[in-house]
Amino acid sequence: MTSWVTDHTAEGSFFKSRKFTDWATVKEALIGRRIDAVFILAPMAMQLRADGVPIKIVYLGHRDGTALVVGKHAAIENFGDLAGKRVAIPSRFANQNILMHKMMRDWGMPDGSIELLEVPPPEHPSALESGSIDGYIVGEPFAALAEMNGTGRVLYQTKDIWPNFISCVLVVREELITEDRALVQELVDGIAKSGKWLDESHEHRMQAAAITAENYYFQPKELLEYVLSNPPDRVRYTELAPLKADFDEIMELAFDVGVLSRRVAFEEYVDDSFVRPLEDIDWNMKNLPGVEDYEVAQ
Amino acid sequence: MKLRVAIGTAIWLLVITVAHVQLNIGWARAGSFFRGLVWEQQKQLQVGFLPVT
Repeated sequence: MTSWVTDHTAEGSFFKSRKFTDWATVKEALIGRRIDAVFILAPMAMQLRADGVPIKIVYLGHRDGTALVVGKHAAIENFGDLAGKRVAIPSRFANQNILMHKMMRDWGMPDGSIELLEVPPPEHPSALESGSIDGYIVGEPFAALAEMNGTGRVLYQTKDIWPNFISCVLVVREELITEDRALVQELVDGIAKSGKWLDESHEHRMQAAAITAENYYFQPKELLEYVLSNPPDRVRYTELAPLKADFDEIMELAFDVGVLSRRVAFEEYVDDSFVRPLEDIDWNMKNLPGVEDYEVAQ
Repeated sequence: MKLRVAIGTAIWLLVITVAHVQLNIGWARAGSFFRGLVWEQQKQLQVGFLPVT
């Protein structure tokens, strides 16, 4: 969603979105410095830092936007009903994995009482439909997809069980911060602007859904419209500053369940110096392209 | 006569080009393309993402 605006900053720099299809490739590209900036799973970023990869989290991609989905007619009414079931997660380094462990603790269930399987996000809905899993927890639009095709229903939105849930974060190589701090600032400002624009109105969200479906996600426009409106706060694109309290909680949980090899201090993997109060950013929305500037399928 | 043909051709090319950008490319993308022609004045950064929130 942020790509649309960051393609067209007022300063004239060119931020080109590069689509990846799996987390392992993203990770390798970042380690090998074939890419300097990427949206990546929060615990994955922590572990990369723990492994000595010189990266920093500088901003969030969004808040919430993940759901726990079960079969439409499954006899699963609450989290406790998942005991003994198989649930897909996007990656062991995903915050969705951490959330499942957190929920098991909250519900007094021993670790391992739900079988968690790593499955690539696009395969979650078909795995549920085929019966090979009983549920899945994933970022949008793959939760909404099962709702729309009638095979699944949302048991919980993350906003209801872990408010302000963090999934993907913007990570940059430290060399980039050293070599061109202004460029990183421009990127963070652009994401902040696009997030504010997105959360301003239903109309903006529908425009963004159409543009993103056609140019970035290559998913049906109706699916992204659904994600951005049912309910309107299903995914949020404001309050994207990386906060110590949020990340300390994730880091401690990730370490406890064995996802992280060691504890990592917030200051070690986060550089929040690029975050500016929204009112301090020049909101010249005239620099943004209109929906008419994009090829959008009608 | 030759001058009128030349002017007519130039106007025709201009109209077709503007219509092509308006209908098929989009002004934002065209702007990015032309900025790309003067690359030394423009910074570039690839930003990776997976199509999942």
